[in-house]
Amino acid sequence: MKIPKMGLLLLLSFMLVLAGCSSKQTDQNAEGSSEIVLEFWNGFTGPDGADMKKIVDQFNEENKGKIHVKTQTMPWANYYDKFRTVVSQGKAPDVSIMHLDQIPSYASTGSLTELDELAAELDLKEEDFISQVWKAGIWEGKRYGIPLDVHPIALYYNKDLLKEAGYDAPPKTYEELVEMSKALTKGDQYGIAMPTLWPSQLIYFSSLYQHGGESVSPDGLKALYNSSEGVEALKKLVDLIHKYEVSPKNIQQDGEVTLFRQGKSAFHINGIWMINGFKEQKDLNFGTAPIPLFGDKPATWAGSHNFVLPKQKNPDPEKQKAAMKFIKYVIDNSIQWAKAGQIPAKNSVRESEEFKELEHQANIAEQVPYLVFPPASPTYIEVWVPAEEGVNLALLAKKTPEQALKDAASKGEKQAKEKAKK
Amino acid sequence: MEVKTTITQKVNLNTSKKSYKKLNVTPYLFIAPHLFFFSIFLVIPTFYGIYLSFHQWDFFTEPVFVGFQNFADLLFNKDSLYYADFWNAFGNTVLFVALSVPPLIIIPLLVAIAVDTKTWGNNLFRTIFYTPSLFSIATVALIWIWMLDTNAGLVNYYINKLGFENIPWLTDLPWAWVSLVVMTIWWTMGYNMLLFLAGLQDIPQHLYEAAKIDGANAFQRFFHVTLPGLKGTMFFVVIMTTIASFNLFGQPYMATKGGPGQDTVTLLMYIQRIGFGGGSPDAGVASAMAIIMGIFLSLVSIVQFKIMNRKDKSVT
Repeated sequence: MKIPKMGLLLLLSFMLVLAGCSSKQTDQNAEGSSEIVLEFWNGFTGPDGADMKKIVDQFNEENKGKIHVKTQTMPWANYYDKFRTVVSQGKAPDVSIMHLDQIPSYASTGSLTELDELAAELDLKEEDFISQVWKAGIWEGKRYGIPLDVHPIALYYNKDLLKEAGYDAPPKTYEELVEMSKALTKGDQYGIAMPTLWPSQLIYFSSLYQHGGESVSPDGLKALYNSSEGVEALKKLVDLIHKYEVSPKNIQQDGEVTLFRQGKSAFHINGIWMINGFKEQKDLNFGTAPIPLFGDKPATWAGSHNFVLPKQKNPDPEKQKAAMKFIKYVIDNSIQWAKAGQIPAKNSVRESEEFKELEHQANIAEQVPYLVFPPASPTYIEVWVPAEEGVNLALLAKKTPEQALKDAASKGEKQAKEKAKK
Repeated sequence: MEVKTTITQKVNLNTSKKSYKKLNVTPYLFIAPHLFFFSIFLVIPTFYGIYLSFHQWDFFTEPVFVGFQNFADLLFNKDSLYYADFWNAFGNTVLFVALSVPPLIIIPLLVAIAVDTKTWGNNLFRTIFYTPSLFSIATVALIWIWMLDTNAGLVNYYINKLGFENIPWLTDLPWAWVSLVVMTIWWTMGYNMLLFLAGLQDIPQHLYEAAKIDGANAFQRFFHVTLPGLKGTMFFVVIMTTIASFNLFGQPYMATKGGPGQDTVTLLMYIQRIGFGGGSPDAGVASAMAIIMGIFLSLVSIVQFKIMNRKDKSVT
């Protein structure tokens, strides 16, 4: 009697374990024979997730019985890890959000569906969107992304501190920034807090293009940031800390946010996504503006969330059409998304009265005509990321801007060469 | 008159007539659930990792067999993508082990001895010293990030009051290492302290009394009674602490982000970066690194084992 008992016990424990591991495979046609169920993945784990949920719920309401969208939200790092594995297993979501600069990399491994025809069917065209971001969704002549929003960096400033020093408007040029910061630096208060880690690379990227420099060659193999323009662009940032001393040294991760929140720094350059956090900060009377001109021509880094259709093992045209319908709906109704602290990519939404009422978003949106996106190439990240380390070292005064960028360029090009070989 | 009494007893040596033919399965039933999870989460991944280390795999395409290429690239090939960063991470990790293991043995030992004196408040202090090890790594890192903030942190606030400049605790060397070591000691000393406490209870009191009678002072009692008595515990603590320090990941990942530059990037951080981070992950290279790390750790543990065992034999 012992063997059957053992077998039964093992079987029982096995079943319990399986029951605990829920299967991710959604039964596509279980709920009603005609309703299409779409799996939608995104990384909006912050408060902006709630705004996206509102739009999705609205869509599900209006399309009851026809299309139902199931959302899965997870931290971005987990999202990208999972993305790699689920596509190769044929279990990818039907529609998801991807950052613009990741699209070439995933498109080059065949994980994304081409959207040219599907976009044309729904009459999505360049004139309706910010043209730079619309164009940036193309890789090797084919479209892979439909832009939802752009999220640039911006200049935040403490209105109270400025008024105290006798200023009523934020600086527009580097010289003005330095001058005002000098007046605002006293005691334990600083004009600006220059971060040494994130988001210093975004500020550097903007400064680089403002000086007429470029980041990476279009083929994604050559580093262009170690040009004389690149060095000058980095030097301007380093000088704020070490030459003009209007910024404290050695700021650690998020240290600059803390200082701005405490009212100890007058200026703060960060992404548009900081708006709602700052709004909640007690006693912080802040304003927003385009970032100052470090160089000669305006240019501002921006990221963008794009909709993509991951490649399925057996593509279902009905589902694809439904997914595109969902995408168009969210884009058309992206004013709710704007409230989360984003700038809608669709022109009509951005030019609406409702959007203009969102003071900060509208201020930051002034930069739309000169937003810069990284060139579309699968090896862009390989070449660019060492520059971020170089920026960090230069801001910590561990290397000169020239040396830092030179070392980064050689490392980056080597990495890109290796990746391109595979 | 002798009375002979014989007692005959039937001793049931085994459970049943059939049992010498079949296994006694009860023990296996007890370990079955754990064995099940052990196989799935430890044994299978280990073999899969060994398999992957001879391939290169970016998760999308099929793994490509490359033989010993990964190991060569990491260990010997100066021109490979990974050589410089791997040895940098390796060196940083070894440095951290050297810096953290001695304090992580000495401090908990001294605290355990203090708590063991059973004076007033020893239970309270034991709780105070142990509680940090109950926190998760994220909590610990956040607490110290706030305290050590270069400009807004509590520590620099008091340093300023004493008249010194802000110390860049998390953004510059050597302070970053100081911060990481202090953070780790604060977090994990409680566990070692408890182990030493248990070991101290096992030392018979009469040995101390005998030593006192022989005229030994506190130091001599420590070196000749306490330390030898703690051999077993010390052995366990040294090996476990070394292994734990080699696995340093959370503290630099959150607090220094591997900075300045790459100076506080540890082996596990680099493995995670290559395996999962960035634009082009390579699970094969990451697995090879993990294998190398595992082999090195085993060697270190064996050396420690031999040293401590050898010393043991000389004590009579």
